[in-house]
Amino acid sequence: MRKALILIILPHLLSCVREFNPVIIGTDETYLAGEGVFILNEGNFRSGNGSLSFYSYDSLKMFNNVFQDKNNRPLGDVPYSMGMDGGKAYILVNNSGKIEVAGWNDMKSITTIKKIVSPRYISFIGGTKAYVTSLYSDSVTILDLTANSVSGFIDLKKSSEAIVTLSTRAYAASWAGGNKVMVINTMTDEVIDSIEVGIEPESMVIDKNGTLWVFCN
Amino acid sequence: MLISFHLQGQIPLRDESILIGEVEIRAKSARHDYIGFKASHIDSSIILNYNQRTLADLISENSVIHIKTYGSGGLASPSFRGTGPGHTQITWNDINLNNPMVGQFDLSLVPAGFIDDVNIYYGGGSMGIHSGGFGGVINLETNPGWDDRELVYLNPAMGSFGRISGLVKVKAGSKDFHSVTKAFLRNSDNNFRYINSVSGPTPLLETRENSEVRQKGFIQEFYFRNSTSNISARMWYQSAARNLPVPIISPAMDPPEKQFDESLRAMLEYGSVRGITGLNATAAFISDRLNYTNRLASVDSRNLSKRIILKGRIERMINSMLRLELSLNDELNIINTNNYADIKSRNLFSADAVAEADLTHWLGGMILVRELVQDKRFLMPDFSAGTEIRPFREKYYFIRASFSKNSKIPTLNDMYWSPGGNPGLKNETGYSSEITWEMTSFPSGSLKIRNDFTIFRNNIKNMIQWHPGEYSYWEAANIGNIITSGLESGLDISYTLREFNASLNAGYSYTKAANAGQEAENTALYGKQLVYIPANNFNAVLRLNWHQFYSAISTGYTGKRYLTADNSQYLPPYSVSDLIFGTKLNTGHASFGLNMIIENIFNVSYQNIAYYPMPGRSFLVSIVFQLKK
Repeated sequence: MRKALILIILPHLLSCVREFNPVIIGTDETYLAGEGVFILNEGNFRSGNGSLSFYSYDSLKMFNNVFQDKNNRPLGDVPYSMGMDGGKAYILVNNSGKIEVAGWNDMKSITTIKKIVSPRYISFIGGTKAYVTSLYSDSVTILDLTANSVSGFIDLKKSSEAIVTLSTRAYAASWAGGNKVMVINTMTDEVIDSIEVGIEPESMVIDKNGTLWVFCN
Repeated sequence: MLISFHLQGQIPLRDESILIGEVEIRAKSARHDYIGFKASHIDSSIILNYNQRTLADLISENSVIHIKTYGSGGLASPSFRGTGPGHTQITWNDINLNNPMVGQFDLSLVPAGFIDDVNIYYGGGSMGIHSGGFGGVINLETNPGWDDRELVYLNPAMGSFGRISGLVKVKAGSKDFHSVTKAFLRNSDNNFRYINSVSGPTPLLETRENSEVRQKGFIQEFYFRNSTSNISARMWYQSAARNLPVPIISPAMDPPEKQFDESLRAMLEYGSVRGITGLNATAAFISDRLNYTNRLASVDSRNLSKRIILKGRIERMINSMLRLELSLNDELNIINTNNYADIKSRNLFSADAVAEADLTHWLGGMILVRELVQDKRFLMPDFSAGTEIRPFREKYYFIRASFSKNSKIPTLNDMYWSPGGNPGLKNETGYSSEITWEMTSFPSGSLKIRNDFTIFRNNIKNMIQWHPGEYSYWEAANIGNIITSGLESGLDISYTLREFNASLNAGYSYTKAANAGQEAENTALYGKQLVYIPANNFNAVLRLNWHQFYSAISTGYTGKRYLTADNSQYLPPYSVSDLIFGTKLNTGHASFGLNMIIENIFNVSYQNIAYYPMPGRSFLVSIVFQLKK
């Protein structure tokens, strides 16, 4: 009965919802796909004013607040990184504990994957799953890209930051107070090794020769 | 202000009567109510209706000061005339309460029932109490109440969202000795419901989590007096344990962030008046503890500040027109925190000289000069000057104008926070000017109308702001320059007819506060309204009392507030109303009362700070028991 009442009352309340949430003035024209670069704006911590911009190489025009303009709601607090796979954009919103999944050519929301602890970076594995690192938890989250949901966790016993994959190996850097890069078998989703590096490995890249470069603070 | 006026035409004169000229008696309503400056007063009869509420509620509903608040139990800080919370000084019987680390004071932690009177000094008029109040000073006063007949006051209450609270006052003594004891307790879960339409594609009806507050405190005061002098000893302790809710754009934390605040304030004061000379000396000790923990982020912040304050003042009437005052103040701050490299201390000494003159019945003036010495370093002197004109002798119309130069020293966090603090910071300097028109009229014996209108302007130079530094953290620097200007207007009407009393108190302010420095010129920020400063602010309270029944309805309007420096985002304006009503029955020396407060009676959904929803309609019921002499 209570749920029925909420379903009856909620639509009436929604009519005034936008009246009290923050309002963005003069959002730009609708974002159009094409050649260009996405720019994630973290905003101020706890202010919820993070946003996504797109600079078009075709029109030489900057489109701001692309996500909010398309979906009529804010992107969230501290959008931190973004990945593209299978025609979709995955925006990791660190302090909102979620990943926004949107169509990459129009930024229309497909779904929101919630309850992810402090997501930092994403790495796609074979088009069916992805690994998401975390600042505040000791696990890497496994995403099922078909269901757009959390399918499991890999216990690193330490926090994780940057992540890169090569063949059947994923390498996750333990940045916050750490000095190791954890090695994950992507076939079994298990930690199989660790590599000791300098203090606080923050970012990584694999070059064309298959060499892993780790940048430490 | 006490005024007497002539009653000719109402009292028949006999032949042997001697007609004397009109006599006018004026006195200051408060100690620092200097000629030429605007001041306002919230007295005990109004505070009585706020015994179960906080100082933030009292000030926001009875002045034009904007209160920025995170909600029930959350941080509440004042903003005077477009300036920041650090530019408003909160004092207790002239002793500064602003925490020396952050330079601010949380108004949500003070139960209004602890305070007897509130005096608000605007702009340069605040310098008589403390420097650095570019917007002003709010002085909280606790008094002996020598003529007060109250012995015991008990006021327990309970209300919405798990609220349970209580206030107790006990007074005892004789003609020349008084003991005043006050204690309070306040627990609230703050688990109100709100609509969350921002955290995902589907709006949800949610319950506020991790917003619990547990507060307690007491004040103990002793007062002694004789024909020429008085001594007071006061101690005020309070603590608050709070869970800190997150903005609704983030998921609730488990475990939640926690904050513990604890303050101990002790004060010894001596005052004497001998002939035309007055002397006052105060010694105070203040200890503030603030511990913040965030287990998820491995943050355990422990902060302890201790202050010793010594103040001395001597004033003398040179003649019937001129009064001189000399004050010396010394404040030693010692900070022990795990956020600085080591223990830090700072000593501030200031010397003030004031000359106040009532030159004629229509013209008066005041000038104050202050020299500040910070850790043996002499700073540029500050000053304030004001004048007051009464254009019509028979009417209570006044024009006040003033100009001042004020300084605010950097907070210790600005100087020593690790990383980013800057020990080389200069003082902020504020130049303020204002002109006020005030009139009071008595259309009939039952009706009194008071109105004031003020235009003001502040220019704050070398304002301290934190900005992205050379490395990966932010740093403090004197890079800001802002100009605030606007107008304030107040209206007070009171009407009394036998057992019926009605009063209306209303205030409006318009404030333009913008970046004005060279670094902002030719940028998107120049001239834009500062964040969280509403241009328009309005409040009104209508009180109706008849016999033993009383009621009050208050309405407040807060205008649009920008959230970004380029004004590309804003929070919409809102209006919230509260209703108070109750009754009191007197039986001999005792009285019993029942009181109901309905906050946000129209259940408005609004946010004072972005993504922090405020409670909807809520109820608070309390009973009052009083014992009098």
